[in-house]
Amino acid sequence: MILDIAHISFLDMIKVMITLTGAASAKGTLIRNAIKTAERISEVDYPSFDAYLAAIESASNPITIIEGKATHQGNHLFGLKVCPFGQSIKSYTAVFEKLPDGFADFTAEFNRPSNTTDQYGVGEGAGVSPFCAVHQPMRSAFAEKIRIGGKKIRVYQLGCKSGGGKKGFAEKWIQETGVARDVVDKVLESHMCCYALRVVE
Amino acid sequence: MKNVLIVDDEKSFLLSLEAGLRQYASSFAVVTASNGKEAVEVLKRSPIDLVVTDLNMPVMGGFELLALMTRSYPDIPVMIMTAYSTPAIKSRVEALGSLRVQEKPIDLKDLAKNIGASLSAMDSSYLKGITLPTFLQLIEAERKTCTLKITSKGVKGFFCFRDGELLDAATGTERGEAAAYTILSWDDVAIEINSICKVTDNHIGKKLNHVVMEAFRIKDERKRAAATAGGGVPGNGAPASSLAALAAPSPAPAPGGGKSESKRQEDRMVPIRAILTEFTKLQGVSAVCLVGRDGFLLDSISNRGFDSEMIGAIASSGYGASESMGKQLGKGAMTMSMSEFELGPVMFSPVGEDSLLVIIAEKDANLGMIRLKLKKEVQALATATSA
Repeated sequence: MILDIAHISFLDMIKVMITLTGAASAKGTLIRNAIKTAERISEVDYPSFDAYLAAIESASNPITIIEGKATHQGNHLFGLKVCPFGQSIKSYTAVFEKLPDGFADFTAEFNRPSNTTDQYGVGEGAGVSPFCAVHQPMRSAFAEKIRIGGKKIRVYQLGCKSGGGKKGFAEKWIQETGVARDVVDKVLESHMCCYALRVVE
Repeated sequence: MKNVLIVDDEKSFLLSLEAGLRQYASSFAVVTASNGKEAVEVLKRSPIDLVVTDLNMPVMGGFELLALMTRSYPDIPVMIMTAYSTPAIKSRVEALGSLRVQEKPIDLKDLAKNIGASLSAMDSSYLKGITLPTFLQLIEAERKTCTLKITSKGVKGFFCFRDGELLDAATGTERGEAAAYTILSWDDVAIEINSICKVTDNHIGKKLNHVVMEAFRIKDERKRAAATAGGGVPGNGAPASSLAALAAPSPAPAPGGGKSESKRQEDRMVPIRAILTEFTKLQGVSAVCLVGRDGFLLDSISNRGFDSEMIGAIASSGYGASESMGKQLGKGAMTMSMSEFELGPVMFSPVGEDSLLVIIAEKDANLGMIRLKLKKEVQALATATSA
């Protein structure tokens, strides 16, 4: 098996960041990095929600480009089959058996309420690994570059599932979007990630 | 190829600079002028990327040139050469982000380095052209006596300086301190300078640095208020009472409706801002930032042109590193951290579990007073932050 050294380095770098500057600072660094990445993409305006979905199918949707094709579950609810960091975790655990120390603290830190997670509709229990602190804010920040029919959109992370099958739910965002928790739970049975999209009036 | 215009009335000095900088010809070309008037002629006929100017020159001095540039060439960055700068003044002027100060006598390598930095900063977030607060700080630093006429989008105002002391300001029906705040809130200003000051009494009663700091705070609040109201920042033509309106009580919430999230957030920030303001009143404190432990800025008051968001991110890492060291050494919970720099200290203090306070001070800061204030206010700040 040939491993991707970038994956292994990235995971160890997170561990180093946690050790040197603490989980809160490391979380901020990863989120800021995700936001900065989003700042570099161009804005796009889809004429309709159907056009937005079509862009997912053609893999031209900015969010699809970073995370792969999500499947629409109806009512603007999406499920993502494959975690974009799944391969990284596989590469790492193939060599070192378990993920680096400190990842659990980091994940707990990401799930703590904060202005930033509020702003991006992430965390609040929906984080199941440190990679969620990269993936979820990045998706939300990318969403800020997307309009549908000239209107802004906002993404809410409702739940997530770890490689080991443990589910995390963001009760705050589930309540705010009005999606039933059972529905989120069901989506997570067959997906790693569940999020809702809302068009902002 | 970038073009640098160097303006100085000493011909031999200009020639030696021109010759000395020739070794950097691959990076920039040098054009010279012996006074402000000649410089204006050069600016009219040649594309110039940076102006490096002396301040005291015959025919047309550096201040007159800088003032003209605010009107006709607002995007060209400026560096000044002066023999009268102190580190504190240099730091204060440069901190506003629109001007570099090159001390005389000139060190050629240092000058070339500063020119390179200014030219490369043109592609970054460094402010282009000279700003009004920077211009005022320069007038104070050089102890000028003058009247400045400031115009912006059809409105005008005046500042009067005697020997570098700000004595008065006026715009519309406002005068003194209130007028100064109003004028300093304007964007896209043009400056005219007259070397006469007819005012003899001080109608301001505060040091320029404090006036500039307070003006930044008021301007910031206006932006926040406008953003909360869903509108843009009021234009320069807004009535003077718009500033006073900031201090007025907030309107009652709509009947039958609870407070919106943004209103709750705004209410939460009021006591925080009041406490931060207290810190800025301490001697030598030039900025104070409340930062989440994740490095995202919660609030800040500053009279400096730095990137508060970036400072927040760096502060979080710096503070986190100090805290990690304390943990490794078994030193218990961290209560304060301070970094000493050539031009003044930066202090960090935890505020509850979720945030930290960053105090940026000048060399002349009273550290004892800052520490006392920290002891007194941090708990109140933690309570306000967690509310």
